[in-house]
Amino acid sequence: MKEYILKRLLTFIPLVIGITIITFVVMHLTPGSPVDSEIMSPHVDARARERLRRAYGLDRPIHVQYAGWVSRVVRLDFGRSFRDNRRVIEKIAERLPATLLLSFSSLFLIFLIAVPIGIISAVKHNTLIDRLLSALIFLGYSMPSFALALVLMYFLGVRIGWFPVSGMVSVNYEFLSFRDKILDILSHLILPVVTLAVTSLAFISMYIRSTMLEIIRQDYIKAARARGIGGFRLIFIHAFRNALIPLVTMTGLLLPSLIGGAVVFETIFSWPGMGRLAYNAIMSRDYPVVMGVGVIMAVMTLLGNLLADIGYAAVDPRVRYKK
Amino acid sequence: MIKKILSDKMALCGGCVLIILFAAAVFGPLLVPYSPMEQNLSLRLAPPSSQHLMGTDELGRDVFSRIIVGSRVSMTVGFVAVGISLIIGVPLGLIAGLYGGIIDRIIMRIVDIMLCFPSIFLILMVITFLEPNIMNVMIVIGITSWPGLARYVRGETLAVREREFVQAAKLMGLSRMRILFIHLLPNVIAPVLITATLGIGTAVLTESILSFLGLGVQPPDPSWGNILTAGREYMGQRAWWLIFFPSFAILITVFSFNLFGEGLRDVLDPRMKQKK
Repeated sequence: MKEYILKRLLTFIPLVIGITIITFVVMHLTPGSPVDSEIMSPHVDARARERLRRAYGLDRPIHVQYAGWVSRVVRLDFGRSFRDNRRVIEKIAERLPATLLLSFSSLFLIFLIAVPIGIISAVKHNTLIDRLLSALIFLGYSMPSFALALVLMYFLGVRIGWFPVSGMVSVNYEFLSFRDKILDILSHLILPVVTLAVTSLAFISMYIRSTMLEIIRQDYIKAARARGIGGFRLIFIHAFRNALIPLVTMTGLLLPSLIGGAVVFETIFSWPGMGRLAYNAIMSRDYPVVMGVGVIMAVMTLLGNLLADIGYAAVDPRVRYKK
Repeated sequence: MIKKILSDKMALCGGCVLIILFAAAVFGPLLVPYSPMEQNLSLRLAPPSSQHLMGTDELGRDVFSRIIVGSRVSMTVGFVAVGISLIIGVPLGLIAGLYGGIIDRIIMRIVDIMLCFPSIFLILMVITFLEPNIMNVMIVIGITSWPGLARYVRGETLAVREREFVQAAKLMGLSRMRILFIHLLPNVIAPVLITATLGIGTAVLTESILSFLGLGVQPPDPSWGNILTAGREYMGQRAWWLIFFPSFAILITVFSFNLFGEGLRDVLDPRMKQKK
């Protein structure tokens, strides 16, 4: 097991290097130099412009710039924001909890709903219930979730007024009791979490259904059934446990879409997380922040996959010995 | 094959709706009741009525006409973007699968790295530095969506490569290029076609997100995404038709591409059918 983890960690290194290269290249090869937006102003004369370019190291060849940037990145120093001159890592750190709250709540909701749907659909294969659920899942899978966000925002937020439609806390948050503070955050959380979850929820339900269908046809299930095991025990102890293993990997695969979704949904719901930070930074061409968030998001995805792989290897010894 | 598609309910339903959508995209702009650009400031934010089936927007333009004309944008972006990702992804996947070794490892590492980034983030990162217009939207969606396809094609190629007929061709001394074009390519076309169909739905969705965020089709040109932007802005004025109709249009389009794609899978790939 130790050997396996070590091996996996070694493959991790080139990927992280690749992530930094892609982030750097995308930011530097796209037209428009990073300081253009800062020094577009006609008040800045050519000499000052040159000074600024030198200050950011933009007069040096690109590989030298990259080396300098990476040597700082490994120390988690992404530089300072062009906008407010604060350290990028600080800005990210203060936004991270909101994003994690959003994505983990969605993940929780996804499994809470997808597992029963997938199992019921598989157990009641080809019945009316299965068909209904499958149709519903398919619809959810095709759902343009950002548009659904607007529809829900309008009907449940603006028209009926059940849920607040923007931000993470109310204006009077400071003055609420502890219990009300939690309720306040929860009520702000519901719409973004639901819309973020829809597509992945459908995806996971479909996956559980097809995996369970395969498992139910296996000999060991027939054997268990022959031994008189049935109902709940058969489904959960004998069948679903085996579906759970690949599910770990699927969760790893969900991460990029959940994190990427955060960019869109945090923007729509004005959720104060990393995704909105990224969007605002991209829109205002705040290069150090964009690069910082890019690297952090990608590395987070990578870490998630790594953890999923290790978890997989821990429960399924075959994986460890394969390579 | 066409007969088979006709006999598959999913493919048939999806296909029918798609044909209607194509017709709307091609002929719609000639038939719409109002010009999508025509403003009527005395009729701003009018709810749906017999004159304006889907109401009017903040400048009094007919939403129905704008949605029909917008379908042309969505369809074009969907097809061209997927076309670009096919042009990049399929050859890379084939090469990686056929040659193996160091070439395979390099290509797959690039794929792995690209897949670490949430695709929407990569797209946003690149598109802000380009002029926001349809051309760039198509290119950017295309060049960011090939990695998944390449990985898929590689997997299929690896599976086909070990089959007897390819081994036989190799023993007969056929060049790698010939094996690639004569034996591998035709065998991966079916799964690629399915993935591509599903990809069009995703591309349509991505375009509408970009236009919604103001980075795609620019107003006054209509697109489903930028009608939604107005819908969000005028939510307080209860202009539900600016939200509901474009959302529905996107849903129907993505849904029918997915339906058609899944139906196609049933028809072209009998292995998958047993699983279901």
